[in-house]
Amino acid sequence: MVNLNLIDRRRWLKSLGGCACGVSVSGWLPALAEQIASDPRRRRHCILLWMAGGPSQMDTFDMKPGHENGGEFKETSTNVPGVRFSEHLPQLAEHADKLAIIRSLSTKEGDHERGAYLMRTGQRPMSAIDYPSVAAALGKELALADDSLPPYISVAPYRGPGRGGFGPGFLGPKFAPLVVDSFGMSALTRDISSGSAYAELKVDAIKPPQGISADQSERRLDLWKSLEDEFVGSHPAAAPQSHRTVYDNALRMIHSESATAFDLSQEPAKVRDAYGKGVFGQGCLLARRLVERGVPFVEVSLSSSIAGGAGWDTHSNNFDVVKALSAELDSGWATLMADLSERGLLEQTTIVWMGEFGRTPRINAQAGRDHFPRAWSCVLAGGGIAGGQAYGRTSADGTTVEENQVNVTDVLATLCAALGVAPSTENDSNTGRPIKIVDGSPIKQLLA
Amino acid sequence: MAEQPVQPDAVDDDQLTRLLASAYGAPAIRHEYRQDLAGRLDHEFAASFPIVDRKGTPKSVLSGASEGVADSAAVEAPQVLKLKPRRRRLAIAVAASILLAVAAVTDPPAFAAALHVLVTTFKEVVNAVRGNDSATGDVNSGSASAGRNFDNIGKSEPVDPAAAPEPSSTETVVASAPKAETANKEDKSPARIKAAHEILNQPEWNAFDKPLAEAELSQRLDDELSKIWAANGIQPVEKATDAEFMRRLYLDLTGRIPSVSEAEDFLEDPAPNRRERLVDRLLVHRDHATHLAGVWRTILLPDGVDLSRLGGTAKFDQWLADRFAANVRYDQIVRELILAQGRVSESGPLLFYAALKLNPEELAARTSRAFLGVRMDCAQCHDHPFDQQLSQHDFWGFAAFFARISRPQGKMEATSPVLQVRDNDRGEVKIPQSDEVVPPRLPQAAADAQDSIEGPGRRQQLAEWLTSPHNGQFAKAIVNRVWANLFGRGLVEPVDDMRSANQPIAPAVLDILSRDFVASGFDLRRLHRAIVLTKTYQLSSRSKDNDPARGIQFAQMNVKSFTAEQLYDCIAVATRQSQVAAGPADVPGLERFGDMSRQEFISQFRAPDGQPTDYHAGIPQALTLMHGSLIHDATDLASSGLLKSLEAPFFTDSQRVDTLFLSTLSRYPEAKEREVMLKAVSAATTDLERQQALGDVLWALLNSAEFTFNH
Repeated sequence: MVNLNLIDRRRWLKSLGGCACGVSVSGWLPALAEQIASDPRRRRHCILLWMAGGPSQMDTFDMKPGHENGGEFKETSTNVPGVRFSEHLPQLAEHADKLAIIRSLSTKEGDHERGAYLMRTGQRPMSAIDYPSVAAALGKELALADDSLPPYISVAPYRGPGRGGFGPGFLGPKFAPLVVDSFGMSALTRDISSGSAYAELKVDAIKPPQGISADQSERRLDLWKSLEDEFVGSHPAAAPQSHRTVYDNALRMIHSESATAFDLSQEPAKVRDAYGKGVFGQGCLLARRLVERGVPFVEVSLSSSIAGGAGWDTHSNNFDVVKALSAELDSGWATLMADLSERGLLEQTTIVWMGEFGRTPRINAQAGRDHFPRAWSCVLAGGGIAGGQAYGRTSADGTTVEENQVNVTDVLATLCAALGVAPSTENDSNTGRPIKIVDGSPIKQLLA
Repeated sequence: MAEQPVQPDAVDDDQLTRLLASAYGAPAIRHEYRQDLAGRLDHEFAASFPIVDRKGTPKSVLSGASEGVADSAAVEAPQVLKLKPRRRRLAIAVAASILLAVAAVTDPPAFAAALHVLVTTFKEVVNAVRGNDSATGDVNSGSASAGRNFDNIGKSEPVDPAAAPEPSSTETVVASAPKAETANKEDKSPARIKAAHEILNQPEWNAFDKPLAEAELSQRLDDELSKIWAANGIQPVEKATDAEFMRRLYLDLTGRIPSVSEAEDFLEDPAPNRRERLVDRLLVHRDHATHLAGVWRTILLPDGVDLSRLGGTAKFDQWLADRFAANVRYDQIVRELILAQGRVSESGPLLFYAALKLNPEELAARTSRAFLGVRMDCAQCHDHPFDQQLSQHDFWGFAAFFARISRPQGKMEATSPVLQVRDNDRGEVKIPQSDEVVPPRLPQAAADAQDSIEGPGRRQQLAEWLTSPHNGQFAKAIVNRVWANLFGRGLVEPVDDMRSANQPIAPAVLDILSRDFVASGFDLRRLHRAIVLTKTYQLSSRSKDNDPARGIQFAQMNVKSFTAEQLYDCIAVATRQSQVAAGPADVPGLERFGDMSRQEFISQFRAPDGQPTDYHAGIPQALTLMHGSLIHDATDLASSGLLKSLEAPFFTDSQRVDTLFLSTLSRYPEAKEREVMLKAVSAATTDLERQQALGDVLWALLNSAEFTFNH
């Protein structure tokens, strides 16, 4: 039979809703609530560092120095003996004790869109069911009822045609990410690379459009309220009530202290510089500010470097591009680790680094690497993760997995487990069938 | 086939313990759902344990729970005690567990979550019990339930439809469940196996000999529903006003609100039959055809597939819309769809096959859900867990009809616009994880279908059976879907889960409409017309109190969320970004297909289908509506066609406000509303300020709940 003690305690906290402060706990479980409230791990967060285009494992975390496939980069040692990675990730090397590098990921999708769908949903593409991304599902799981910011915020996501795996799927639009966009990149590129400006990040539509003053906004809302009260009052069904609630929540967010998270100008220049001035670096800084304000899931994309170029999709000129991307990755990610750690947030924040697939070990005639899903790497770090290890091994030429092969569902299940969410947690799909967040098994060696 | 019935005695203790545990662990559900869920629970309970209505007893044991009152006396409500001992035990145990959940978790979201889990799982328990008992009733009592009686109309003897026997009201009400007096014998008879196939196995189903007179048809539907309301002690709400009716009809039939001139035309029409005339006008409007095409696209094509890789949906939409515009018989449309061949890029209907990757099981699943309203795919991997009527072999026998279609070698996903679809003479399906080949078999056939060189191909045989006038389930499924599109809920809910253990709210309504639909030659236009002209459809959505039972039983119109398509189109029509053609079918209507900004908007607002009485949007969407460019352009004088049109000097401010209301809410403002709005406008001291103020009124209207819902 079911043992009630096994029920996730975090769920209890959620069921107690607004009582998270532990003061007004009602009913018969004050002791439990207090225990939860005093539990330093009561809130869990996830930051997904999405490497759009497919990052080259052999030039980052699975180096093959000395082999002809190895390329021109050298290795660097890290703060964990025996774990080495690219020389172009020197700051991150100082955090290797918090990183679990998976070198034995093997998948079957070598197309950008299909690969992204697989990695982000844990499901095969082109299915009849519109699966949510694991990001949306985890945001939903980890949210608390009185959060003022939405549960899933995505910084500078890839917005090309066909966005399979980027949406909330059958969970519905309210679990879609709140998108923070980067603006004017082409104009800014010059300024940023010349060192004079930071990438600008903005939430679409968080403020009234230009030309609408605060007074006018107020007047609009007054008129709106009179209409809303009348209709909701005469139509007491659930849907109109929800409409009111959603608008109230949006307005609450706009005017909340939490919304100041998006104002990166509040950070000292030194901090902003440390993260890197590009979209990714500033996005990592924003991720920290959002986690500080309780947002459960933040995604930051690294899809092109300040120097321009096609992101991680390095079919040609692989080494120059990866070097530039690595510099941004290194400063953004390493500073994020350090900052979170300093604030005591790293142990409740799990970071995952991945893209849609890896890249061919063989270097092509254009000094590039092509799509390669058979043997590649991803990284888990921070809260719930047993850091300081490289898990699995590829062959000397990097073409096959030789030890501890893992598939995507196990990686995502491990992520869930690190966050304290059962991967088997079910959501109702609109087909009438309950669907698990991930149908996989956590890899025990990777969990703290 | 697994013949192990779900034994209630074995079920309740374990199942209830599980229920209780999972209720505590359930994900939090929005607070606002509390009442709704409680209402649903009430309804499930009432439907499962029918009320033998006497001296106005409370209508449900759970009405206490829905108020959050943990009153143990409620469990002992009289109707529970009338049940057979076995059922009573189950009922009390379930009610008790709910009350326990109420008492234990005083927090509303958790309470709602508990109810949600209890409703869903409890429903299955009840269904399992009822599945057994309805078979028992068939054999032991010899008196078929009213629903089954009604099934037989026209079978034994040709009946003048006008003189068709009326099922008695009490029988109709309790049709969904066995009579309490029925002897409670353990059922080990073959009758259960018969019941197992009853939904799909209706060889003797027949339509009316000829369609009913139209007025009579609508009248009979109203009469049947009135009986149900009376029996359940439900008081229907008042009739919708002309303006309410007009807006609803435009939204339901054309997917958009009326333009100002369309609204004025109707509201100023003094003719007593103006509602009927509006219905007739809209049913032949091009926007009706394109709206239905959008509705059917979501039914036929999977959500998760990127269709742009297959050439997009424009051809498919166009194909559907042309058929609806010409009022092609529904059975004919379905045959054309199922039998489509050729190259995907050159054909409308073939997108159905391409999007489902020519995969027999996905085609079978989609076909059975769309056209039979049955989830045969629930038996794909194992016999159906809670419904004994479907075995794994039934599903794969059905899927085998799609096994002999040419398909690309290698990866199944490798479909493309140049793909050719045609029948061939090879291909079989196998039970998963086995080598057992399953021959094609129709759900009602005694023997496997035969493959022969000269004879019809497998798809042909399937289409013949599916669309036959004797396949009652085919007719009931479409009737139920049309009903759901118009009312926000099906007569059977969910619409694709019809089975003997999930009976309609009003069996007679479903039956009359289905028999008439087939007799009329599968006339979709007539079906829509009959339903929207009922008094039931024309009830208001307003009420002082919130009693979900009214919406569930159609005694009050449900408030329905717009689809993403409707929201975009309504903003476009309201703000005159799209020109609306008032004319007949040959005039081009709204440009719905191939509009990129519309697609972009839809992808942001798209909600899971099948849940129109929920509001799905969240903060990102609210921000877009409040501050995004679509609404900004609509409310900014420089770009708003509507605001510009109000500049004309002969308008008074009062008329301007009226026009804004008519444009968006399709009604004139109440005196008090006009006063509030005028106050805002008259506070302006310059022309610019006045224009801004009108923009503010428009902004408030476009963001209001009243605009955002179909009510």
